[in-house]
Amino acid sequence: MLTVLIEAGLARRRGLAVYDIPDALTSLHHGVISEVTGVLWKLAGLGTYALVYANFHATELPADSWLIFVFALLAYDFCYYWQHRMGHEMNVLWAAHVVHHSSEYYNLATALRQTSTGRFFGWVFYLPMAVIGVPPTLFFTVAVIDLLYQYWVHTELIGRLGWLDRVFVTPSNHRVHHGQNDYCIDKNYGGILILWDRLFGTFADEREGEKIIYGIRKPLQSFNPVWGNLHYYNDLWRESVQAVGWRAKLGVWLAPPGGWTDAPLAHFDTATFVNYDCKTSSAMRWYAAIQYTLVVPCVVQILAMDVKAAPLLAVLYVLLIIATTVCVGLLLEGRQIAQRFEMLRLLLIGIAFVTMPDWFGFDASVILRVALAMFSLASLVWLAQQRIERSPVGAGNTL
Amino acid sequence: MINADALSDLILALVCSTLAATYWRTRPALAQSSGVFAIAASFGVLRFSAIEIALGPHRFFSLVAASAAFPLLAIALCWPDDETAKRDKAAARMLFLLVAIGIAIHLSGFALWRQILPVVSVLMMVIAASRSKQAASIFGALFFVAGLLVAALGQAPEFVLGPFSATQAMHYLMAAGFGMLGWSLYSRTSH
Repeated sequence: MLTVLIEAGLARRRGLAVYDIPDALTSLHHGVISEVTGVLWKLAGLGTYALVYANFHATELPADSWLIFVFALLAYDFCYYWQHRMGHEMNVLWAAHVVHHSSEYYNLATALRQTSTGRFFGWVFYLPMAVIGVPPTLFFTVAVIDLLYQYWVHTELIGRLGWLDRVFVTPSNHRVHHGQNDYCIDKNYGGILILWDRLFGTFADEREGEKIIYGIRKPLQSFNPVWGNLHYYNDLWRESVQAVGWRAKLGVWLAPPGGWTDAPLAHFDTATFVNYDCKTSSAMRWYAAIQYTLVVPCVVQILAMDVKAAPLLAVLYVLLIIATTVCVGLLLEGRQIAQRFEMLRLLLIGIAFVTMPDWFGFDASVILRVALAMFSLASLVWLAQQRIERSPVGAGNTL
Repeated sequence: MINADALSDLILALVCSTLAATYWRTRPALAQSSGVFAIAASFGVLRFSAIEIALGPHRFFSLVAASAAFPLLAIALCWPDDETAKRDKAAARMLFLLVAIGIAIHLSGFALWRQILPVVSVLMMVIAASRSKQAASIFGALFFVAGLLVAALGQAPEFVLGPFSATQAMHYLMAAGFGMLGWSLYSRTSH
C-alpha cells in the first residue's frame, strides 16, 4: 500500500496521469477479494500440489540445496510462462485472468488486481514439478518469489533498462503485455525471465513513440469487483447457450478469445480510446478510500484466522468483505441502489461490531467498539445526504 | 536383461510412439492421446526395470492416460471432423481440461473415475468402429475392451493369454488395440 502511495506521489510530481482513484480502488478491491476467496479454497482443502507430490513424486529433491532452489525457481518460471500464455489463449482460463488486464491504467495497484477464480485450473501447469519431486515447501517459496518479483514491473515510472529488458521481465516489456495496441496482443508472458518469450516467439519490444493503451478490447466499464471476476464467464455462458450441440458448447470454453479463426486480429485505433470514468465526486472518492482502509485489517484478520476451526464464520466474514467491496464499487459508479445497500451495510456492521461478544475472534476494546459505531453512524448520515448520480463517460474505443 | 513386464510396456510404448509420430500433423488428438500412453509406457519400462525413480511418474502418467488420453482418443475416433480432433491446439486444450478434471476427481477420493472413463471411452470407440464396418477398427476396439477387462479383473484368462501376467496381458492387448487402430487408419488413407 505504501509503495502505491509513493508511486502515486511521484507520478503526480512528474505530472503523469498514471492513477485514477476509482480505478486504483477497484484494483485493490480485486486484490482483497482474491485474498479472501483464497480462504474458501483453504476450507475446500484443495492443496492439489501437495497431494500430487505425496502420491506421485519421482524423488524427494532436497529443499535446502541452492542448486535445487535455482532449478525450482527456473522450473516454476517456465511453468508460469505456459500458465500465463494459456491464460490468454484459452477462453476458460482467460475468463479468470482477464481480471488482471481490466484496468485501463498501469500502476502498482494494477499488480494487485488479481483474479479470484484462477485457482480452478492454474495448479495443473505446475504438476510436472510435483512429479519431478520439488517439495511443496520449496514450491511455495519459489511461487512467492515469482509473484513478488512481478509486483514492481507494473509501473510507468521506470523506463527502459537496457540489457535487463532482454533477459528479465521489466516494466518496459510488461507494459507491452498489458497493452491493447495491435503489436502488444498476446506478447511477453514471462514471470521473471523474458527469455521464455524470446525462446517461444512471443516477445515484443516496447515501441518508442507509440503510446500504449492499457486494458482489454471489450472494456469492463465497471468498478464492481465481483462483476470484474465474472463478466467474461457470463459472456462465455451466453455464447455456449447459443451454440448448437454439446461439442460446440464445450468448444466455446476451450477456444481462444475470438474463437477458432485464422483471420488477423481486428485493428485497434489507439487515437480514439477514452478511459472509463464515472465522474465520481471527490468526496465519494475519499469515502471509498477510507472504507478500503478499514477493510484491510479485516483481510489481515481473516488471513490469520484458523478457518477450519469455524468454517461457517469464515464464510460469513468473507461474504461481508466481498459485500463491502461491491457496495463501495457501485458507489464509485454512481449507482443509486448502492447508496441504500451501503447504508444498510453500515448500519448492520455498526450494530454487529458493538453487540457481538467478539468480532470474528477479535476481542475489541470498548473504545474501539464505540469509535467504530460512531464512524458507521457518521458515514451513514453523510451518505444519506449525498445525491448519487451516474454519468459514465468513456467506453473504450469511441468509434 | 529386460524382464517380461518391462518388455510388454516397451512394446506398448513403441506402438504408441509410432502412432503419435505418424499422425502428429494430420490427426493431432489421436497423436496426442497415443503420445500420453507412450510416455506412461516408457516410464513403465523403467519402473519394471527396477528403476525406482520412475514409479511415481509411471503412476501419474497412467492416471493421465486413463482419465484424459482415453477420452481424447474416443473423441478423435468418434468425431474426426471436430475442431478437437483436427486442431493440435484444440486437442491439447481438451487434454488439459481432462487432466485437470481427472486429477482433481481422483485426488478427491473418487478413484473409480479412472476406471469409468476408459470404459465409457472404449464403448464409444466400439460404437464408432462398428459404424465404420472396418474389421481392423472393430478388432482394435475389441482389443481395448479386452485390455480393460484384464485390468479390471486383475488376471488374464488363461485360455487366451496363458503365460502372461495381468499387467503384461493388458499392455499387449492395448498395444494390439493401438496397432489395429493404426492399421485401420493407414488402410483408410491408402485407399
